[in-house]
Amino acid sequence: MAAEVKPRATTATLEDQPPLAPLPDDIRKEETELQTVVRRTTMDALTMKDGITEKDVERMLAARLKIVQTMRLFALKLTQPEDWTLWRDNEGHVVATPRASAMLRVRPWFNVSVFNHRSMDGRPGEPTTSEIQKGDKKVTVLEMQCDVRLGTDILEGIPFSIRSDDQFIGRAAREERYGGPREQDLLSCLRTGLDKKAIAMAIGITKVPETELAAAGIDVKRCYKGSGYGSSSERSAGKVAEEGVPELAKALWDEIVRRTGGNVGEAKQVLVDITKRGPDPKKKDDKGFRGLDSHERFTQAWQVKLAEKALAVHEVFGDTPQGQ
Amino acid sequence: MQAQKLIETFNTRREDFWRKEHEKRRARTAGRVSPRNPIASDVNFDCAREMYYGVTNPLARRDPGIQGSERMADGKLAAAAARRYLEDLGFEVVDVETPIEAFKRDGRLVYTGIIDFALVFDGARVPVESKEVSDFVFEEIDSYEDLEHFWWTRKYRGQVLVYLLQRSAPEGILLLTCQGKLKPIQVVLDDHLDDAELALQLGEQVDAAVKAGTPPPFAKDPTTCRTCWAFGVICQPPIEEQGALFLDDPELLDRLRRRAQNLKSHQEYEADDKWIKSRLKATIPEAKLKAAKAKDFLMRAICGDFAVSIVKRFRSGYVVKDVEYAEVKIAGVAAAGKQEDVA
Repeated sequence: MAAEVKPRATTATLEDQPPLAPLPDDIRKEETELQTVVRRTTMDALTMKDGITEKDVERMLAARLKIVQTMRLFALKLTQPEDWTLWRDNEGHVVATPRASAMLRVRPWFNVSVFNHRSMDGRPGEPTTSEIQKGDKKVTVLEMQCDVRLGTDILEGIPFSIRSDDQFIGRAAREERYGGPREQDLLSCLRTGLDKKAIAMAIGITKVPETELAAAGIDVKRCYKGSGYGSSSERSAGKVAEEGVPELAKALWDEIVRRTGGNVGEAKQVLVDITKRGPDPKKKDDKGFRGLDSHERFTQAWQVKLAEKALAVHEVFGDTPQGQ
Repeated sequence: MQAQKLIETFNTRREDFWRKEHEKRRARTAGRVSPRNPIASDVNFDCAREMYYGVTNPLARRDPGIQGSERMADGKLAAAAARRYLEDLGFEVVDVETPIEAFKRDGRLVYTGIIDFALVFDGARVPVESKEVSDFVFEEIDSYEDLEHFWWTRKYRGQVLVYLLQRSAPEGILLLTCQGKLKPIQVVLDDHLDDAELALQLGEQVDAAVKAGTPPPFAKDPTTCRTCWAFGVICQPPIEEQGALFLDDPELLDRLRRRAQNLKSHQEYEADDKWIKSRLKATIPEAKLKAAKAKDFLMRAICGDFAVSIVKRFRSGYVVKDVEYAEVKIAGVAAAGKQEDVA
């Protein structure tokens, strides 16, 4: 909030709550000073203001920026870690994208409308459907667009599409063993995804840096993992490394190398020794595990802990080696 | 190895079985030529449009998954088992799975449906609708009002009320079953006439909309769409959220922050107060307290540097009158306790 704007005590009652968008004219007469600033700082309003000075513009834009930042932070704080998916690029930058559940938490708090759902060629209420061949499989592609309004700002023609072989299509993905996703699942998934995208764009949380999410108090370790965190099959099998595991594994590896006197070949053999295990006689057909030959293959903290314990009792490089 | 093969065969047959069952059901639905009407079990107090699509586009409804299908089949078995159990208890069970006589108002057909059964009791036939529910639902629901808790149990209300109206029965039973356990819920028509009338109006509205070929308006509350089978499939409701007011009130904000800071202390005080008073009351001889008249009983105690007195009081009973009021709920959204960041 800019310092020039004098705060006004507000005694809001249920009657003051604005009705569904669009807002009727009479509500605007009762708006708070903060709301007035937001409305008057749209670009159109600025250009139409008589005798406007640079200082006025600066003050109003600063106020608008503050509002946008406040709304964004508020939106982030309304969410839970499980409402986000993390994506890591080749350079290690991590961004988070909201899942549909995030929008369900956030949207009731914003004067947001999503409307005019239509196909890409404008048929109301219908998606555009097409099929493409992928190997010996047919993949269905569904597309749809809509408009979204936040307050008085409108974004038109927001497109969204899903494919029947997408990884992130909710319930539809889980039906693979029963003959793949059903048409109705894909359709509802398309709609949910489109609404999510539109609302995220309107509120300004389409992509959020991991650091900003953490600063808003979200435990990013509990977020879902997307591209950049192992392969899709590894992710679905829960094999993607926990947060902090690579560091633990690297520390273990450095310790092994130190104990082997810098002999990397020998260190690798020690790593295999301390991570392998024989067949479990209690489990039928258990073939045991032949060990890890690289510390980068650790994915869980408990694996590192077990390896540390095994290293401590290693017969040659353990804490009390044989012969001592 | 043999057991593993057996399990795989079981899963394959299970999938095939339900796929064929769903195909058969779809073929039956597609081949229907009789006019469709709202069904009592589809009464949806939240959205008439969903009822409309249930009548006009039944094939758009997704087939339940395998587990869903098995649950539904189990519901029928549970209803039959409940009937047998009631007969063992000496009740006379009649009108088993009987189609209700089509419910009409002003000559127009409003609802059709099939009643599970009725119990003959004190010379009257009490309609019974049996529902197999999961354990947590079974524990949660003890009355008609409790049916409001879950979106799927809300529909049970309308269904039973329509049966009562159609049969001119003043009372009915919603029989919850869960793993062999039974819990009858009383439904009194006179106590819920508003709901019954609303159910009828919905039926009439949907029937008129079907005849006109124009769907009723979208649900007022967009959150109800989250669990609807038609959402995104054949129904594309706009989302309109009224949002929240920005309260530019520093004094209010200060008080909210102070309230949040004091919350833990408040909770600790409440817990200690409850524990202490309970402990002190336990020191009173119960017979002595019971025998004494109000104000005649006085006991004093000293604990460290605290003086305690316990007096018997009398409180007149009173009935809390029905009243509508505004409930204020306050929740901090600072996930990491950084409440000061929230404007």
